[in-house]
Amino acid sequence: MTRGRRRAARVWVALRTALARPPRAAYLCALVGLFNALAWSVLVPPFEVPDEDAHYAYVQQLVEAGSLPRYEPIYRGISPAEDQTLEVIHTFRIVGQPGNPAPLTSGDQQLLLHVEHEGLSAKGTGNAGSASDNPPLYYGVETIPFALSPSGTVLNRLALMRAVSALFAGFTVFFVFMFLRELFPGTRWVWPFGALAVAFQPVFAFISGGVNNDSLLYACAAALFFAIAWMFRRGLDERAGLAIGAALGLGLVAKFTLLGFAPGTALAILFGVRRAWPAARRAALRGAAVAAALAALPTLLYVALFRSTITSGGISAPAVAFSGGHTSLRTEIAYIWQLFLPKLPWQISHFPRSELWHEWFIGLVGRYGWLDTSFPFWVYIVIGPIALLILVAGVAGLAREWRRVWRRSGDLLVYVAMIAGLCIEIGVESYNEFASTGGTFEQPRYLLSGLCVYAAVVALVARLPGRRWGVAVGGLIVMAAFADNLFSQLLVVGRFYA
Amino acid sequence: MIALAIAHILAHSRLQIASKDRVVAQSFVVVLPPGSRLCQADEIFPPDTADLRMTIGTYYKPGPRLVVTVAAGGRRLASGGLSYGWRQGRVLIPISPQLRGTYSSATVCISNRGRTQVALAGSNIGGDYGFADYLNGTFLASEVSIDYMLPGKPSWFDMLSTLGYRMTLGKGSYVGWLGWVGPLLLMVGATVLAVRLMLAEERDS
Repeated sequence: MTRGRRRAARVWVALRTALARPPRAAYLCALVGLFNALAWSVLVPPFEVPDEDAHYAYVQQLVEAGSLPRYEPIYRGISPAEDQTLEVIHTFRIVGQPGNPAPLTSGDQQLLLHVEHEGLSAKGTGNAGSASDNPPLYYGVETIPFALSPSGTVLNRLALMRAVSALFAGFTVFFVFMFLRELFPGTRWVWPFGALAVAFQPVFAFISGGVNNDSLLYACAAALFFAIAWMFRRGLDERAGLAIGAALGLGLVAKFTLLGFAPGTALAILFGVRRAWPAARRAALRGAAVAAALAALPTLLYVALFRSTITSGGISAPAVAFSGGHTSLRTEIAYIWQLFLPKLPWQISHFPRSELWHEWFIGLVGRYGWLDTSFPFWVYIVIGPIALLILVAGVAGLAREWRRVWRRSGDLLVYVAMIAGLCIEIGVESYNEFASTGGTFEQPRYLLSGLCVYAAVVALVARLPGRRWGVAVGGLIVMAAFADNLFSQLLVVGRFYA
Repeated sequence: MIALAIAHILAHSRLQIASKDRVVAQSFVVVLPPGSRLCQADEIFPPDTADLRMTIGTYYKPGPRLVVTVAAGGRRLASGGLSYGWRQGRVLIPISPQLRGTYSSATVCISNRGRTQVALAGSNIGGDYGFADYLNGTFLASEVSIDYMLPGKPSWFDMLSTLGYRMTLGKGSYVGWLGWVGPLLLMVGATVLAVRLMLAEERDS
């Protein structure tokens, strides 16, 4: 056996051992996440998760034509089978019209059956709308249920594809649990609380219950957080490099949004090398090289193999049409700042309202359908102080352990850099969209790549009063998330079926 | 507390739709002069409809007498109307009898039997919703918004079986009846697992 092969075998055995060790609770939490996402997948009418028609069309194009989709500025439909199905289930009469329900009568059902029995072609125009520019990993996975579905109808295929998406929700919760295990190795009792709070996060479950590449993105993002925390605890070597590189690399070809985590990840690797210096520098440098290579490889392959598709697919350069060319770095920074934080006194106002409250807070507590279904406003007013209290308690939890936090300030800096990177990435996309079309890009679900941080805050709050009361506090937070999830499901039932 | 909140919701009563044609009442799109009749074809007429709900303007005058008929396959299914004096806005027009079955390709006609004109709300993006409208036999590009209402004000508890049935529609045969059983069982499963996990932590504390 060559030296390289021996090393690869060692890494494989170490990875298998590491993954075989998770506590039973990790699997049970993952199962809760899976069940919840599956419940949402059955509950929400077909194509009522944002852009689901486009994501379905991408998979359909991969299977039926064997090629990536191409964005077409002039919409000529998707395929006869999908177009007719969307028509008879009233999809685009429901989207954006909260007063319009899903099909309610046997007459609607008869029309659907009629279309399904027509055997319409699934071969399309090659257009996958808003999903056309996405990288292909998620859609590649979704070709399996699409192709294996014994029934060739659009809705049956969609149901199976949604189930696969829900599986990714289970993986996400699993990795969140594992992240908490690395972050708080001495207080194992807080791990399930953080993971369960994520499992019951309703917007996460709603999106993961639909056909949407965000579901794989969340799993890769959580895996990346876990891999980095693992590296911080055990040191940077080939195993850690492999895990970090694989999570980032696969995540990037699931959705480019994960690029926002790249600077934070690079910083983590840098800290990893520095901490290993000089005793374990060889292993650390090898780990860094493996991480960099694995992170870049899938994206490089994608770009190299499908360059023509990407360039003609219309990945847009920053455009300035709407702003009449009056853009500047200063304006862009002010715009991105105000997208997430309150406006500073010297800044020009870019938004008529506080985005932190209206877009992110309200959106993450619960906004469903194609962003057309919300709770009455008073619900957010009630939940606001509770969320603020949890946040303050989380900060207090950090402050109480300031000695440990100070010792591990590099770790904290990396997690902050990752979240900041994600926000900047969303902000830049949002600014480009605004400057070119005057439209809105941002959606609350884009922040869910940072679910591990949310889980960490829950764990910090639970740790604050000590174990005896902490179990009760953690339980209360999970119950609050459960209530938000349950009433969100009732809201969706009322919106689509009444 | 969660159970109490759900009980409160279930006890709440309100007007409930049997179905609707999903035409958005964006603006008043058809003026119905005295003696005229508007018919909208290709509607799906749902079972148990007790009222039609439409948005009708009267130019701030008392509403004139209106007569409504619903027909399918050349047969009159139901009829009803409003007497003089009703107020403009979202208006409930009672019809009878309440039918058990669903009728596809139904035609709903509304006649103005009074002395003042009324305006009907809907959409004037021609044919967008797939209905064919005729004013006194002349084709119109606009479509009017019609909601089909269930009788009375049922509570959410009364609506449970109806909602359960509706959750099975339009989802394909793999989901079918799982449309309502599935989420219920999955959420029970998730709850049991979560409670078990949290109780295990409490026992150990």
